[in-house]
Amino acid sequence: MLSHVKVIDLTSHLGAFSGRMLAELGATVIKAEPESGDPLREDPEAFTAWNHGKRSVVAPPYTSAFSALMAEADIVIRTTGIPHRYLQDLKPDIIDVVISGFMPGSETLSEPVSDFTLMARSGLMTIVGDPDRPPMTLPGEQAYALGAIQAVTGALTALHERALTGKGQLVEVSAFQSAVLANYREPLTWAWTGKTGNRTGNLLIRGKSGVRQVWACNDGFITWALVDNPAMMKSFIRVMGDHAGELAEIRWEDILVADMPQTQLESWESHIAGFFMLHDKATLAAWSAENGLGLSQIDTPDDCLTSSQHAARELWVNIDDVKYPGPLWASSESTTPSARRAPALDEDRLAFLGGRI
Amino acid sequence: MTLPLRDIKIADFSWVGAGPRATKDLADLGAEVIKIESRKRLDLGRMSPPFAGGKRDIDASAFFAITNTSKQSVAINLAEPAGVDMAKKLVARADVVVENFSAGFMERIGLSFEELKAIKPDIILISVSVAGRTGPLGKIRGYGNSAAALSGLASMSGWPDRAPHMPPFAYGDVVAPMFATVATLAALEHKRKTGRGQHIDISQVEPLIHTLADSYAAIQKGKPAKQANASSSALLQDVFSCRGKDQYVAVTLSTQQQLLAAADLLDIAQTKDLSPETVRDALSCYCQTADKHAVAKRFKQAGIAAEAVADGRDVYTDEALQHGHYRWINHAKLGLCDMPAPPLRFSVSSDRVTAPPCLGEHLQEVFVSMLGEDPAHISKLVDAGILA
Repeated sequence: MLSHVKVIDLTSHLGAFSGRMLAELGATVIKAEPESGDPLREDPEAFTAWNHGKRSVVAPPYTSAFSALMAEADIVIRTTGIPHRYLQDLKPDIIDVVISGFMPGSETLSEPVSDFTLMARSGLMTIVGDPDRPPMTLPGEQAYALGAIQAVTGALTALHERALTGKGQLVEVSAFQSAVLANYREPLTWAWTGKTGNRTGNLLIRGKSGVRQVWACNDGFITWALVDNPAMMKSFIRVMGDHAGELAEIRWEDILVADMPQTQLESWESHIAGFFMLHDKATLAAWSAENGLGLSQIDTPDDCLTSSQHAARELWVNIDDVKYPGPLWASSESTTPSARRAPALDEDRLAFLGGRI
Repeated sequence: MTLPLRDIKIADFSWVGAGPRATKDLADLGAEVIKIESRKRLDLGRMSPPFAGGKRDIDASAFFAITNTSKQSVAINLAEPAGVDMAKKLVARADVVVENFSAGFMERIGLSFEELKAIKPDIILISVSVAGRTGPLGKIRGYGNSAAALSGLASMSGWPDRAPHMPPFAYGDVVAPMFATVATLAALEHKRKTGRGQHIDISQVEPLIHTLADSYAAIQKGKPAKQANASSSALLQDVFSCRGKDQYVAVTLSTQQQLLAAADLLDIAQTKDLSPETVRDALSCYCQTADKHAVAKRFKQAGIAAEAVADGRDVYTDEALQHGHYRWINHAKLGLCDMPAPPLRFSVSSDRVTAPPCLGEHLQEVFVSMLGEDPAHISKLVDAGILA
């Protein structure tokens, strides 16, 4: 899709996913690395995860090699520290994308950040985890990932503007604001109701009571909840058969689950828990698909790595015997990244600089 | 300063979260987004609290508002062929169609990709669904937790000694639409170069897996799936309980230098064989009687990443968000209030955040002014319950 687009990637950790996405879409993404290489190379799996499909040339800013790469570039992706003017002088219509923890120019910009501290400040950690334990973060590095995706949106939006007017520009991206946008309920709820949320574990709170969302079955876990959907509840009771017990007597049209006392819900849930324990997650998921039960199996990482769904959509690509997610989506137009591995340091020097430097 | 996507037109059939969040991004960046809604089958976002005035009102949901700024709305009954005909007129002038219906719906109403192409040969169709539209799960219907469940996110969430954790917000409804925004922009670029449109099929599961690419690689190399608050790239990373009920500070010590800086602040720099665990113990003790904001400030001044664990109130009042994150709008039902803007700043282009539409608010503008339909014909369609 973007095979005509050339990107210079100066990121190491924050923002590395941006170039990875653009490379997957067919852009030529060149890591302009220092002599010592991207420090993330010390962690080969993490390096491959965020860099497969990119190319590499040792060409740090303020060198003639960097200037030569810049002369043909459409987009630069970087963190703060290099004047925009310097890049603009090298390539007047450059799209210069700067990703940082906080918006450049703000007082907070220079504050040290990690993905974890951005997640803390975004408000997401307060609601993740269990009520009897401290707040926790999401797996992976989600604030960095969200910021990196927004940076791609910024880069492609500026590319569109350049097609209309011929003008390049500076695009600045805040990973913190990207994480705050993911926290779409908590600041909104405070603004409109004066209430703050907290951790509820795996209980889905509706009204005065909470219903379980995560259940053990005989080979793992599934997600399902008692909800105010009479048709779905009747299907569910039918599938439970003899195990329904007192649940078979309930007229779902006449009650509201959200109004039931917690003790009543827990009594019902104990029957359901027993039923789930008799079956495996694949069987339960198949019944749900047939009968509209609103249940999903909870895949472990191993389940995901071996899933027939992901195999059918060719999600995983194998690089050095490790699976990494490859295509971003499926499309009627084919997109092929230039390589299915991460580049060795400086391996594309000849291809991009030839004998010039 | 001009809106960068000012020449892009989007016929937006999407509803709830996974589609509308993408078209909000594109609308805020200047695309003309016409939201095609149904009065019978309301966008569930319209019924989600909180509501201005406290009472349920389909035009007063603040939740709907933040997901639908800068758009226009028409209500069309797509169960009627005459309604589909009107929708096709919007497709004919659009660059992009976005939908997140259950599998087969667009085909049933005569708006499959092939039919859209017949109307507009270079149309870009963006579909968002739980697991994508192909493969053995290509037809499954989505529930709030499906994407977290099927991506491994739930399995990797929560405490190592407990069951998987379902984070209490629909994270699949956050990341997938961001991919849909990128997909739209990339497809527009492709069309500019080749003249070709395309159908892009976005799964809610796969984008979550992409954000976990390094975790998946580490797991295959034998690392535990659940890291809780730890990080393999940090010497010490955790939250520490501070003064007050449920108040915490989050700290990351990545380098030896930061470990020493922390030890210095905690007056334990002289300790022999200083370890991350020694610093952890001292930090726990120090934080017990300290304010979370004060600890974060002191540590940041020493070059250490630290932040108070914020709740909704802290975020709403955060100093770093007071210059451009929230934008004022004036809305018929919501009144004067602020809405979040894109987390981007452009030096040449601009963005906008304008009021979200009431249901069917732009009926006349869209069909009469924009499409040039005869006002009498539109009135007839309204009377017949086809437009509203």
